[in-house]
Amino acid sequence: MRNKINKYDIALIVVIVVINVLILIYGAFNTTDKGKKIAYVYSDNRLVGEYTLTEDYEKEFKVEVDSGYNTLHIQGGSVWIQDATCPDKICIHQGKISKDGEIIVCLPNRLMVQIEDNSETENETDIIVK
Amino acid sequence: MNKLQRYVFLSLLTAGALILNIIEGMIPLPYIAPGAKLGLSNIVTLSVIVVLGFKDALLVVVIRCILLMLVATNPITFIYSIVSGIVSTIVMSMGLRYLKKLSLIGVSVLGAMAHNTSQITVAAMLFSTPNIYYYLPILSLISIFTGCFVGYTSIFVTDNLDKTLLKLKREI
Repeated sequence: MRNKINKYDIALIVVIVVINVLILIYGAFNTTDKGKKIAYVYSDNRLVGEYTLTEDYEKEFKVEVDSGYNTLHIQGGSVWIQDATCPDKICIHQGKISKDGEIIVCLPNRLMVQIEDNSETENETDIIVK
Repeated sequence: MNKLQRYVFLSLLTAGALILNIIEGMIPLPYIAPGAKLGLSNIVTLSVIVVLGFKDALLVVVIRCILLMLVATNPITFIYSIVSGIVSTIVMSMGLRYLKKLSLIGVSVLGAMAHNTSQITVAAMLFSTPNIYYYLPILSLISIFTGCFVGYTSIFVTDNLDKTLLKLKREI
């Protein structure tokens, strides 16, 4: 009886698919693509760099830890990992990120790059300064 | 089955799971999301839960993780694999015991989901940021496919294991 797929399995699968697709759609609609985007680079849980992403900003740099390094490349408003010493190269495959909330992680080298949209906090600061 | 036979049987299964784990790393898969993989060793975990019970399955999982760390990976990967292995074993055996309507495929999908969720939770703790949950929806969708595959395979494996055990019992 447990050896065949039945309607309860299908119900479970459908429920999981619906929930996750809804979350994905919600996430896709919620990302804003305007304002100032900042890439935060964390290595070993410490913030090692902040880079404001604009169309004409270009930079390539290495983040090193004991186990190796990751080479990050920033160009045309997006960030990606050019080269890494980790065995699986998952961080390179994660490709370019440019939207608010997107992240790149490299588990072996404990590296994380995260993009945040700072337009809201920017406005608040303006009001305080005036 | 006496104690010695039981241990030999369990070690054979552990070795099988370890080999599946290593072979899995050699299969080139299209990149979809970080950490997405087939989870072939879950076939062994699920089959042992069905045939021999929760405690033996936990033993197989823990030994498999330790051996995998010694053979192929590093201590950091070990943390991920052991936590998610134990959590998914617990979830799958709970599913088998209490959700009697589900077939092995449904149980295996539950296990795959538990595996992903716990792995991401460990990553969130190690990186001390909840942002990594960003990948959970896409990983869950992938885990449905791998979970179905693992469950379907375990159905065949458990059939064969049951026959093998019966044969063992008759010969003693």
